[in-house]
Amino acid sequence: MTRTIRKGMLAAACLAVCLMLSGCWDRTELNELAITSATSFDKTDKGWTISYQVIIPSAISSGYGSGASGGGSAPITVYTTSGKTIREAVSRSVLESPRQLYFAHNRVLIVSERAARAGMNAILDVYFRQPEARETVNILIAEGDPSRMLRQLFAMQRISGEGLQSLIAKESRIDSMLPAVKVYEFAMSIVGDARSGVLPEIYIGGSPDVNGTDQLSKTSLTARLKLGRLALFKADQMVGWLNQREALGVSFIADRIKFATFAFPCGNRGQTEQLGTFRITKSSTKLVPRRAGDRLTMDVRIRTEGALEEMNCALDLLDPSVLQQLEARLKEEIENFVDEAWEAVRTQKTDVLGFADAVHRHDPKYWKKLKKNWDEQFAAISMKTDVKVKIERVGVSTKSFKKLEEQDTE
Amino acid sequence: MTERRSTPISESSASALEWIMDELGHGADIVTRAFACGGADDQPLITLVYIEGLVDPMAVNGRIVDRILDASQTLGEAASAPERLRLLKEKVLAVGGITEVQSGEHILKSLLEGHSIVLAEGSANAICANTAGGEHRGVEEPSSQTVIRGPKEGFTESIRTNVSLIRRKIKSPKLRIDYKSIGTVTQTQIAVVYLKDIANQKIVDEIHERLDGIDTDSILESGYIEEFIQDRTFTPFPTLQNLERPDAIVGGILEGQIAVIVDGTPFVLLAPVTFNRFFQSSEDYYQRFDIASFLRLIRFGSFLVSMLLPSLYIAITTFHQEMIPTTLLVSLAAQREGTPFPAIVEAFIMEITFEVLREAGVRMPRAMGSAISIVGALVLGQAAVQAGLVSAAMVIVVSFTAIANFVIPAINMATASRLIRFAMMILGGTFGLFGVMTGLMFLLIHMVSLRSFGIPFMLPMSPLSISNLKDVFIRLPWWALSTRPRLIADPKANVRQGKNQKPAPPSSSAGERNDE
Amino acid sequence: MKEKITSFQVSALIMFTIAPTGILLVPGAITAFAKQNAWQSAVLGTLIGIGIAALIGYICNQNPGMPLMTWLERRFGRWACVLIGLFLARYYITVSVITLSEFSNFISDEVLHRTPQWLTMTIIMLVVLYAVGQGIETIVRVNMITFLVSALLIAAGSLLIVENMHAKPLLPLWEGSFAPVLKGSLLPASWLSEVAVLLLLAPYIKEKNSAIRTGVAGVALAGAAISATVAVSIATFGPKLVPLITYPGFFIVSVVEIGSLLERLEIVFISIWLLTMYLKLSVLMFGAAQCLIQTFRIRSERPFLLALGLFVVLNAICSWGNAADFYSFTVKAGFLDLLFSNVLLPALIAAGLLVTAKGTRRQRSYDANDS
Repeated sequence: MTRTIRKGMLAAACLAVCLMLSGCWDRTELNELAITSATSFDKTDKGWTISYQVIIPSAISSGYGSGASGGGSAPITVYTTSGKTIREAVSRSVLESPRQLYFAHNRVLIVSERAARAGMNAILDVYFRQPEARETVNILIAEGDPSRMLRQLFAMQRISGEGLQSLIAKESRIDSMLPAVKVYEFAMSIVGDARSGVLPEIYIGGSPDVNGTDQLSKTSLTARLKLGRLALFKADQMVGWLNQREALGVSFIADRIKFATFAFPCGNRGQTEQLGTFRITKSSTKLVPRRAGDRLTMDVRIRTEGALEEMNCALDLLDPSVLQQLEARLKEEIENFVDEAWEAVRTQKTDVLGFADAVHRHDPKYWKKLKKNWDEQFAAISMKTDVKVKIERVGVSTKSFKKLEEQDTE
Repeated sequence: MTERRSTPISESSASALEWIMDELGHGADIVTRAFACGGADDQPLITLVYIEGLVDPMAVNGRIVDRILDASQTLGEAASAPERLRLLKEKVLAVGGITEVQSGEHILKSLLEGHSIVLAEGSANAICANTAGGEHRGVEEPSSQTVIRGPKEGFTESIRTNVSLIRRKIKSPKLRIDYKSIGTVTQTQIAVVYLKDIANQKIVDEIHERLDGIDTDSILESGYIEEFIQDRTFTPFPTLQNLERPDAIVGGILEGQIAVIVDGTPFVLLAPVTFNRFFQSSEDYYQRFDIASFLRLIRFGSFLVSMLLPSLYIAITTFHQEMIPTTLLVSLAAQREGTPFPAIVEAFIMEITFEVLREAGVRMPRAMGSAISIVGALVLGQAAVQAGLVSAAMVIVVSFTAIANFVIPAINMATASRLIRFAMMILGGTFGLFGVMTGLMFLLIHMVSLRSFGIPFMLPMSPLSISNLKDVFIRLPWWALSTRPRLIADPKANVRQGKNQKPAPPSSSAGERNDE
Repeated sequence: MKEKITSFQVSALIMFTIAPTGILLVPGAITAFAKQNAWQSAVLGTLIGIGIAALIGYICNQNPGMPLMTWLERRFGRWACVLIGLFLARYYITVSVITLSEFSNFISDEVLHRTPQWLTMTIIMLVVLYAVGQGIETIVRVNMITFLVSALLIAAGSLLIVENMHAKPLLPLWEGSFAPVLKGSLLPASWLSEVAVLLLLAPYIKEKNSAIRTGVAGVALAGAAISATVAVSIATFGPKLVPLITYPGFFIVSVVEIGSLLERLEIVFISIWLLTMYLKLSVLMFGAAQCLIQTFRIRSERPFLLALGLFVVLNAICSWGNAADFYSFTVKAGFLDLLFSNVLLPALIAAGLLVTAKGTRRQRSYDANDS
């Protein structure tokens, strides 16, 4: 009996100690946090300049708290600090931010072209070392000062970091031109066999920048954040840009197409004025490397299905031969995309197409030989494309409007 | 226990009566009635003694007084005192329960139990006629354990009524009811009720042994018994069930559990009991099995919520903000702007306020109940948030916790979760989720090591018993519950109903034939 | 010896004695060796582990149901028993210290960055001592509940991560020589050799002569868990990235994103993992305590347990100056210690048993006559 009582007292004492110690260490109240929604990295001669887009909660969800009402005040604020290393720069933020910067809700990472050309290793290292930082953050590349992007407001999305993320996520899901790349995916690709990667570009279209809530009161914003080109990386260093057309070609070869929409000439061969629109709903690509002596040939087999979304040629879409003809035109157009992309990456000698993986998997022994100077070998590959397109649906109306018009005039 | 004395009864009725009156302190409620029966006036041949209020007046007047008066002539002519006593016993008194007693102590005990004592001049024996009765609350709907579908009768304070309620439901000769009285002063009657061959005899013996071991002056409620016979005291979890519903008790008895009825309280104990029994309501077996299963899952979920929600809220908002979706985090952070206390203090203030309100609600006269709810809702809910003292999210968390607590059918289990909640909040506020998980681990070790009369408390889960799981988180349809829970009931009496009783539509289309 | 547990319960307990730290540390280490074929290493390691389990089970089946040390004393004499008992106790104490350090390192890496480690260690040890004090039956039952919960969680988790997995990183299947695969398999095999704890658990098992089955089932379960974690982490991150990540097992879950509602799920998995870690430590502490209690016939168990717990905590606090020291110790010395205490020593015992086999037969017939 006394033993149990003594044990109880011991437990109570432990509990009391816990209580007294509480309030220390890791406890952080929500109102002691500066929730960061986006970060940007820029590198100058002196070191790193880092900017943080911090959410102001009371400005976003109005009605509670210290009486600050939404609407009037800006939902975000941007800090900029610099230092010789990344974490040093981050720790400098203590000097100006009254609250502790909190990165777990960081959504996007914007890296300046300058920093990207110098190398991404330092940034990746910080991300993998810090337990707090999310590796599921999307990376974007910006030409010029990246902190400008952080200051820009969206008309509908109050937290602009989240807006940026949904912008790129949505694009890669429904248009497949620019892939949404997360930190860990980027790391995976640059340590992979091909030692290369791609990242999408973000830029501000128009001027002046929308930095204040007063500018949001207009129906048309003077400037908007837009996705632009695709940055090419060799190892961790950026080497060049691809335009959106080439980016789509890269997506085709690298089997990254989920959905995509593009225009194509629907008339006879050579005619380019009359256009139709095709929406890909399903696409798969197979890379088959073939060795002929010392030369490496890459078969790119693309199988695509989709629907016609727009038709400006006067065609009867119920006619199977017409569909076949259209499929042939589509095939040509896709081959154009692929060829343009191939040319672009070949001149950069950067394998972002997944060729290295294909060779490695297909013929591990041969790969060992090629591995040493893969960049050169890559440029010497001859590529053969084999595209098959299937038009699954033609929309609700079977004849193009133009066709109907022509029938009436007859 | 006081040592049993045996005082012989005086042969003279007058001195015997005086002894009784002296022992009982000349209470005003002791009624004596003398019948001369032809004897001398100052020396009546027959004397009747009873305590008013404990006896059924109809029985005393109609069955004893009336009969003695009618037969006074015969009685007066009886040859001797023993002969008179025999006549009284065999011919005169129209009462079922009649015993002849020799000791004064026995007379006192019988009197206090509501018996009427008939003394005959010249005899050292007395007759005890069972006329127990008096005012009792009738069988009413149970107040604390209500159901929508199911019997509406509840136990009362009278052990006789309670036993009869059980007897009426189990018409089996195997039903055993062992009486004993505990409490040297109160002499409270206790009945141990079980089904022979279905209840595990070892457990029955264990219960008897523990009950016999109680040495106390008083038992006023079954709670006394519970604290004396439970397996472990230092635990927040109850290891005996208390129920107000005869159907629930009978259900338990049929599964091999043993009921302990205590005179003077409508709450009957049921043992041995496992953790999951506290989440079963007798209604589960009357409703369709699908909704019953769903409700059970809801109850288990509510138990977890009522134990853990505030601590998880504290742990997540102050330690693991990364878990909260950004939009929610921003709105929580906005609510916390300007609230003066840390989350854990805020939670403690709200929880304790709620406990105060709840206690006030129970103690208050019913007429003032609505006042409490208005004050509680306005003061705690709206005003506190508007004044910026607490955040709105915390009010939601605390109120949901409170409501979840009411879902648990067994109040003693619900109170366990209330106590644990506070410990969990401290752990969550100090070490975050690590603290909460550590607390849970501690709790798990504790619960698993608990036993109720030798039966592991977490029975169907651990040790795992697949066949018992059919009536734990879900309830299978009745025809599938063909065996009694393992380990609780006697293993020889495992089968409770026939197999292959799944109903099916008739093979020949009877309906169509009827249509013709 | 009144506590009785079933063979299945012990298998589950062995799984949770091995798996928690196994899935945490093995994937990174063996992927560094065997690249995309690391899962083959894990499977191979499991096969070796099953062999070890069979050896241990063989020894256990010889035991007529006495506590390990009492039995060994009868077979080999007092001094051999004291030697083995001390050695095993030393081993279990060392492993407890390592596990406690790993546990509290993990917590300060992932969850509580600034809480001092002595405090987390003390709290962990209090809970573990409570479990050990309640006896093996309690540990086994808690384990059963954790087993059910984690099975549910793993089922749910694997549904969630399917989307992030790709077959490509696992290919090509048979690249390069078999040597790295074999080399990589030693590490999981050494983890799986922790099945030796069965020696202490076997006397409690209800079913007679089921030790081999029990051990093999436990090792197979743990090996399957480790192999699956290895395969899934490579399929998700590729063989190059896995060695870079400290805790790949949890990292898999952290990249799951379902809408904006379900993300950062790893904390849920970590929470359940914490429970399994408590179990592991309880088993090891149980082993350490039992070895000493049985060898030296200690009567007052509770004060002894408290002292042992304090000793382990102090050891864990003071033994290693920094993470690198700790890492090199666990990888180099720990590895050898595991193999020696869990494979070599049982092998010696088995050899001893064979040599003294005649004696047993006589003794058995004597026992039979006696009863």
